Amino acid sequence: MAINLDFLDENKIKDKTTSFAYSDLSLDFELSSDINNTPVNRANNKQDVKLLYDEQAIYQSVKNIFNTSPGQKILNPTFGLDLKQFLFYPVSENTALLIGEAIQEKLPVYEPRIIVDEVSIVGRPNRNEYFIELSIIVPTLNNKKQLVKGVLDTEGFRYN
Amino acid sequence: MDNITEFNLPTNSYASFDAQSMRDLIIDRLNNDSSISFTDQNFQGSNLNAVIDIISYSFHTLLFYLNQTSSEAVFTDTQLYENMNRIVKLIDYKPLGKQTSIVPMSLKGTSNLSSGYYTLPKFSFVTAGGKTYSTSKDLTFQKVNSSVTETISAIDNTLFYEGKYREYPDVIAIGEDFETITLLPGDNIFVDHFNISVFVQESSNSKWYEYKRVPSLYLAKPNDRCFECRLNQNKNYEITFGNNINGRKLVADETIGIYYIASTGTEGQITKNTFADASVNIYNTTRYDSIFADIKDTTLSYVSVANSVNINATNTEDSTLYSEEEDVANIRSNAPKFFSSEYKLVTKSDYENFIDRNFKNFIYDIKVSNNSDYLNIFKKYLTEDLKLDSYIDYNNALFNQYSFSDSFDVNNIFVTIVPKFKKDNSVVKRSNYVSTNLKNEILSTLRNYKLLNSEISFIDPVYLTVDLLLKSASETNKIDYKNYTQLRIVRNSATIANDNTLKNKVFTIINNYFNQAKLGQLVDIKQLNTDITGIEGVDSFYTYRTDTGAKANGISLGIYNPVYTGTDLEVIDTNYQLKYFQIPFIENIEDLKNKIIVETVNKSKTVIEY
Repeated sequence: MAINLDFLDENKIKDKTTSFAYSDLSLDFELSSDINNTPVNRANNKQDVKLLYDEQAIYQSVKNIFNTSPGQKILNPTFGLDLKQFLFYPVSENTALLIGEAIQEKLPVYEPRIIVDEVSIVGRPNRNEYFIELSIIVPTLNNKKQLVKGVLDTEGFRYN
Repeated sequence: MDNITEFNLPTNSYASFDAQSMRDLIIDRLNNDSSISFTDQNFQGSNLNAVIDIISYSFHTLLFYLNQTSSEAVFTDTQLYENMNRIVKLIDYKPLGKQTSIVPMSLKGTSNLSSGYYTLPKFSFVTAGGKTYSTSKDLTFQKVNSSVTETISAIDNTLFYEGKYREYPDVIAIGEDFETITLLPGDNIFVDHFNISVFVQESSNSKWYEYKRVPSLYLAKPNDRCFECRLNQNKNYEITFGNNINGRKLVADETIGIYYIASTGTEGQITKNTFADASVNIYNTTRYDSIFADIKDTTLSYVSVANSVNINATNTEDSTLYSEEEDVANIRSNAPKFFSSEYKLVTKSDYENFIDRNFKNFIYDIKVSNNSDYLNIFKKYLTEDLKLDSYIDYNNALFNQYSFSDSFDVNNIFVTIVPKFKKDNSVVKRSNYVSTNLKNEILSTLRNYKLLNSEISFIDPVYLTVDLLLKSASETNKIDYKNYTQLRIVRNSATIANDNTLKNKVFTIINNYFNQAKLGQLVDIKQLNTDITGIEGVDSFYTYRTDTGAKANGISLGIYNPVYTGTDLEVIDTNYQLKYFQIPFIENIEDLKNKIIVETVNKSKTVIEY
């Protein structure tokens, strides 16, 4: 015996954004005006969760990788760079080097869509943070080189 | 996937999903569904992948608990005592509770006690060194001579139970069918399973009556003064009275008096002579005095409080060990046996389980046999192995025949019981039998449940001595060879273990094995050989005869009935099955230990260390 879910059959509404290579959920749960499908008993003022596409999806993934410590992702316990660990070290050139090495070595492992071209880490001792600048190439998006800039502080990594 | 609405899964497949396979399934479905606009489920860093992980893991956790919950409702799988207890309640199984230590006491009457018959009232107790032991029954005994101190022979068995009787506050009956009282003695009070006494002051004449504990109310007659007692899921005792169809129903406002032994657990275990001529105390409280006045047998001469100082008690043996309540695994094993008998004793295992359950605090091991076993195995053993041609030559058999068999002497059920009391003296050990009174008590309990045409008799266990013994094929069986037999352990020259350590380890293996021996067990020589070989530092070992120089690899034992000095001697170097009434013991532990010799083998020579 099989299970039938009819409502899915009736509501195959194509996303209007069809020209993308990657799409992900935006977990900020902002409302979007786009509608992907219509579940049963749904009110008329239909809105769906916001999605992230292509570069935005990749940026989100990179941010997740930077902010995840090994063990946090239950079904993949080795996943994550745990950049926050470096905040316990003195802000120095050496620590910056360690952060850079970690990114260069492990980021392509966890995010296979990108090639890390260049990494630049700048320590800001006065603010107890690091400025991180990444140059990445996404082969599936026409080898576009992207410049990613963000800050690593006690709140974790966030984009500028 | 052509049709998103069709899940090609059987409806029960949910049960086989774990977190990983659930995640893989979600990702697979998202990948194959062209109508869904997600792609990043395939990348570990994406939000979508994290959401899928959370959903999969939640599903996995829920399924785990669903599975656990389902299992907990099933007899074969449940792991929680509460659940197991409730499940077996459906078949009226009553789990065993904690069992306090028991010790037999030798009683002495001082010169101040004049001759005559006396009865020590139940609940009397002795106290010494912070330990208290109480009687659960009236003990009647005779003092033969006045003006001398003498050991008084009790007519009933003189068993004392660790702990003191406690009086539970008055309970007033409601007067409903199967009225149940839950005994709540307080935290950390260990109530002995077998010693809960219930008295009811009946409204018809305001007299107290003792109610008898029965295995099940459903076997009681309408006016029987009885109750059943069950350890419930919270490990409290529930005392249930009848409904005037099965057992007497309580009348509203009748007073119920409950007494129980509060054990101190393992702290109450004692070694012999802990009580050395300790004075006996008579239990008395205001309520119990009025109960006793109503229930006492007026034909007996009860020991008074004033007289009790003239009776002293000594424990000549160690107490039995305190036992915890049945756990889930035990209930799982015992409940089906109980269920199959349904309070009717038909098969051997019905008898064994029933006696074991109801006299668990006295019994170490039990075997039941029928007439055929009796004639083909026991009688054959007496006549062919021991070469006895008369019962007179085997007193125990004669005694049991005389005391318990009926004249017709067929359809007998023969019960062999090894008591729980430890006997550390070999002469006592080989005559460690259940007392006649206890046999009678077992008999009277069994009568209510046995088949009408079965008669119950007893065969006392036959204790067989085990010792190292080697004989060659040409030699006749002689127990004297044990005096020339040694167990030689060849020590590995590379080991750091010293000789004494090796010797002790070998001895411990042999001693432990026979300490845990059961009636009619297989003497597993192969296992003993394997265990000894497995000791680190033992290269090899063999049994050796010092007079002839004969040797045999592995262990060789002689096993025989010490009363008949080896007439039935068996020399065994391979597995040997004992008869159902036989149980082995080591007669002289120190002697056996001395016969274990450790040799050190060097490359070119052997050094024997004594």
